[in-house]
Amino acid sequence: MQALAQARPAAAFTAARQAARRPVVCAVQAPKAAQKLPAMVKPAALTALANVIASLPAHAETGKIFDFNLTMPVMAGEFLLLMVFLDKFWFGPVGATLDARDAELRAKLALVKDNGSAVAQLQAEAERLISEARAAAQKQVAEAKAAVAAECAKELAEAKAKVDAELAKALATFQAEKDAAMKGLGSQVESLSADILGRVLPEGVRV
Amino acid sequence: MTNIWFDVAEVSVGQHWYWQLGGYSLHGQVLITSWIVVAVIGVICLLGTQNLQPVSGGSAATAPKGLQNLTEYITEFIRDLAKTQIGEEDYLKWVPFLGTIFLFIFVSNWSGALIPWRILELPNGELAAPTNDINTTVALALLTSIAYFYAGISKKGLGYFKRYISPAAFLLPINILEDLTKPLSLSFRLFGNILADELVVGVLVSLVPLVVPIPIMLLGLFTSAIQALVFATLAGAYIGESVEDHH
Repeated sequence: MQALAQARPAAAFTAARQAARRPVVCAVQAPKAAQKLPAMVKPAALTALANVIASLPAHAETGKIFDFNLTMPVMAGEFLLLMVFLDKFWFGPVGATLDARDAELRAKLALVKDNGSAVAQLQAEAERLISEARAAAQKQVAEAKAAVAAECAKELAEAKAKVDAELAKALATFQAEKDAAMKGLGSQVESLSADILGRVLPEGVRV
Repeated sequence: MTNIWFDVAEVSVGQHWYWQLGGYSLHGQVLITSWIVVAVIGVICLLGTQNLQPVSGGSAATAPKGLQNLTEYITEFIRDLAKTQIGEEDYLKWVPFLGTIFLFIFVSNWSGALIPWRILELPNGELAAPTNDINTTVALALLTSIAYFYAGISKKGLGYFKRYISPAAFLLPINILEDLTKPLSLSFRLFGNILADELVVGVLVSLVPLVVPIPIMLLGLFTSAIQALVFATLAGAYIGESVEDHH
């Protein structure tokens, strides 16, 4: 603020001093007039002093907030230059980098999607192989079962035939023995009956 | 005789350090801070975009490092903003404009809030955020107006002016008025917010120099960021409005 005051034109100072002289005189006279009323001296003097100070000029001239001048086009030009510079060195290259990365990621994603279909293909192939192997194994098991069953049947038939033959032989032997026994029995019956008759009937009676 | 009231409260409003150029006057303090802001953005740009890593192979060794993350983040942020405001079709060529608006206002506002400009004494006025001066905000707002006129006319030709009589012809005066209120509201919103923030902080600091102004300063940081976002979003919305198809 001290620097401001020094920079201000001297003319403004003199004008300010003239403008300020009148209230200063009043302020100096005020205590003299109030000597008869001591109680009021202090507030009156304070008020007067405050008025004096407030009526003094500010250091600087009145501020200009809406002060349009060459600054505006210069700032616009500065902004446009900055825009061209940033387009060339910031938004252009960085945007290209972002786009390139985007494209790369998209390509990788697409690749991964293709991998998915390949995996599905492999899976189908594996399933096919597994079902084929399962079918082959089932076939083998069935064949083995059939072979075993055939052998069993054969052995069973053989055993049955053997048993049948033995049975038939035994039966034939039994029949022969029975026949022989029956034949022997017949002759025995004849001799027995003759014997019985000879004993029962009186001698001399011939049948 | 100097006025001691003004020595106590060191808040100067509308004080400018005038430079003369070819008979026209300039606000020197605005130009100085704007150069610093532009330099800061330029340095971040150059540091953040050298040796850009595109991340090929997806390994950590080729991942973006350091400031590249910042520049990429901002670029993506601006692209998203532009895409939502302007639409999928035309947004890409407006990214530099909206991005520059956002960055310039954001860095300007934060420079006003974070850099203690006041310790540098000027012959008159004081250093502050460039957006603290009406010339800067009006320049940005007028550029936005030119941008959306250009966007509309370059896309639709003279058919662009049909929007002035839509949806009904009697709305013509209001539609024309809109073209005036858009830059007016854009520039005054930004200017008013930043100036008010600096004034509030300045007055509080002059009254209670310790601790008390800190919440207001933090609020100021927040407001500054929001104002940058608001300006960029509205500029995008205006451009989007003028390029959208009426069916």
